Amino acid sequence: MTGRHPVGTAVREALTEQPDLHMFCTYQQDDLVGLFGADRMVRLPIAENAMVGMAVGMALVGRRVLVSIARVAFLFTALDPLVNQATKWRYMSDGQFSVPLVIRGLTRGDEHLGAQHEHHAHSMLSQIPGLVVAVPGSPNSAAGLLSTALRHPDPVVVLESPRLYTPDWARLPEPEPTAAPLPFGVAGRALAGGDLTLVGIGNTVALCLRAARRLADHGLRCQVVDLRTAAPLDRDGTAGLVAGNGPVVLVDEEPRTASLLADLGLHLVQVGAVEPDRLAVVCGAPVPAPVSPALLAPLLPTVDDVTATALALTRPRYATPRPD
Amino acid sequence: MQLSTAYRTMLRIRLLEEKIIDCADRNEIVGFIHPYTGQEAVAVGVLAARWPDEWVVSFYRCHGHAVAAGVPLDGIVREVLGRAGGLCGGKGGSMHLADRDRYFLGASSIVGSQLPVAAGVAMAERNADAGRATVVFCGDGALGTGVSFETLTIAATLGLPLLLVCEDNGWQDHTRSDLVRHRTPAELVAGLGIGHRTVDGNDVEAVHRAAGELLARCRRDRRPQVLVAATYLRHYHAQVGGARPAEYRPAAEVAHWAARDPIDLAAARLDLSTDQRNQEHADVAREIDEVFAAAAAAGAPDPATATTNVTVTPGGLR
Repeated sequence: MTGRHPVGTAVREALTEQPDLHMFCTYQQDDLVGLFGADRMVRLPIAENAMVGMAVGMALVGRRVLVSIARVAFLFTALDPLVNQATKWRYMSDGQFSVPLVIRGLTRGDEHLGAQHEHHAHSMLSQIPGLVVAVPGSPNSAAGLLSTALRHPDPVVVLESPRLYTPDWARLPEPEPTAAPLPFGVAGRALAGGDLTLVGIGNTVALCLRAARRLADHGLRCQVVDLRTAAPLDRDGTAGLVAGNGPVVLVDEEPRTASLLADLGLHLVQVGAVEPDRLAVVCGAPVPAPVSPALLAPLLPTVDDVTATALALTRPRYATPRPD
Repeated sequence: MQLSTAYRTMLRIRLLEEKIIDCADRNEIVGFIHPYTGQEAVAVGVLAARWPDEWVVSFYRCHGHAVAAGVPLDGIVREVLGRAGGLCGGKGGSMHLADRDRYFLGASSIVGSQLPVAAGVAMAERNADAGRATVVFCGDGALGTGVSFETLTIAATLGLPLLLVCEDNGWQDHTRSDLVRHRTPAELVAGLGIGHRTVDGNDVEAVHRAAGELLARCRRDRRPQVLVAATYLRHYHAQVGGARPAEYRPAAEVAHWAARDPIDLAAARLDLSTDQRNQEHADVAREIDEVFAAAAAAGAPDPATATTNVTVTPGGLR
């Protein structure tokens, strides 16, 4: 996989297929303006609140808008049009209107930009009824989820790690074999293995794949599950994948409190897909992102954390005879 | 615009709102209501100048805009009362009326948030190249929000055919606008280099003429325009529950505007006799009573519809 990033290809294909698709951005790509015109590639000032609100207005009357918000941090200045407008109009109008709006924003990963620029937001945004929250774990899944988003009739936020756009993106762990459209609410198997399951979302999918390689050295064959969308969250599909497949480690860079994955763990136990003492959740610390790599490292789940947790769970229960 | 027709529409709005207030007094209304009484000439004058397929974007004080846009009273009343058959199935309520068939895009209850939505609609209309404009209403308080300036800047830069109608009633909830704003709406808009007119918002003919001229400019020149309509609320900002808010405005100010009621002004210009006015009043009151009686008999919406139209996403709720 070299050349143009699969996400760029997905965007061009959608713009070519859909004459009513518009793109809002604070800077225009000259090549896209040349292909699709300035009426569709709309350059706007740094005014995210108005930008998203306008996108809602266009979408309400039958257009489709892709908003490049740059950073998810900037989406926070536009939560009103997202939360109060985009995700509410279908319901408030009882189906008279819908808002086919897609917002792309960068989260965090290997950039060291500090607390105001680096955010995960999938658990928080997944609390908003009516909103699809896509969290790709690889360049191909970013393209696949974006392709689906650009044909979806309701608002979608695609949370992309800048890690997916580094110059060596083509050499990232790539569980999605193609950039084909991916359905929302369907978890995927990024790696097959029958001894235990590691479940990741976004950045932690690659982390789980690296941990799986490490665990293979211990003779353990890991299944890795990529949740792909935080909302809808594929609770039942994940339960099906992990049932009868040994212990489960859920890995999220977000803090444990209100983590989607902790909630998923409860579901997996309740439906009997895993026993409570064979389940663990590895999360990030509830601390803003520091700039120094030395300070950041202890706050996020590491391959060591996941590996150690998995090994602890796979130790035989009652290995030491208990005293009578 | 026929003045007699405008008079009748203003009267429908007035009596609808008074009946809604009566219901609120009796605790028969769920949630907030924001009556439009006193400002009828703005909605009626402006919307008589729009083309029937030009979108109207409203805000939480939306009953009058909806009536003036041609939305049937029955759907409005059932929606406000939370009865079956409401315009938005009981999910929108008083502050969020929407009627796609009448190009009434809806009302937003977050102050100022309707402006960028309307600008987006105007951009879609500009791109459609059919010459249509978009109308958006706001109160003068909305011009205190950042997003209103973001929106007007973008509308001017991109050349959007947007008519912003500012209903300047001098108050932002219970706060005098003068206390929290150092420039009038017209001065604020002038500073942005946007064409605007200030008009007597209680004179339905003056409002109509000004709106007609500004809409023509929006359509022809593809530029935003602002109409500032000076007006006043006869009742109050909002009511929730059975108790009306106490009067918070100076008595002299209230009396001054009460003497300039838009419906009285129109009746005088039409030279209606007392008998004619009484007859009009009785005809409209009968219509409104019938609508309320039908709504009261309609029962509640089906609870099974509470979870419909959240999203089309498979699995829906999660």
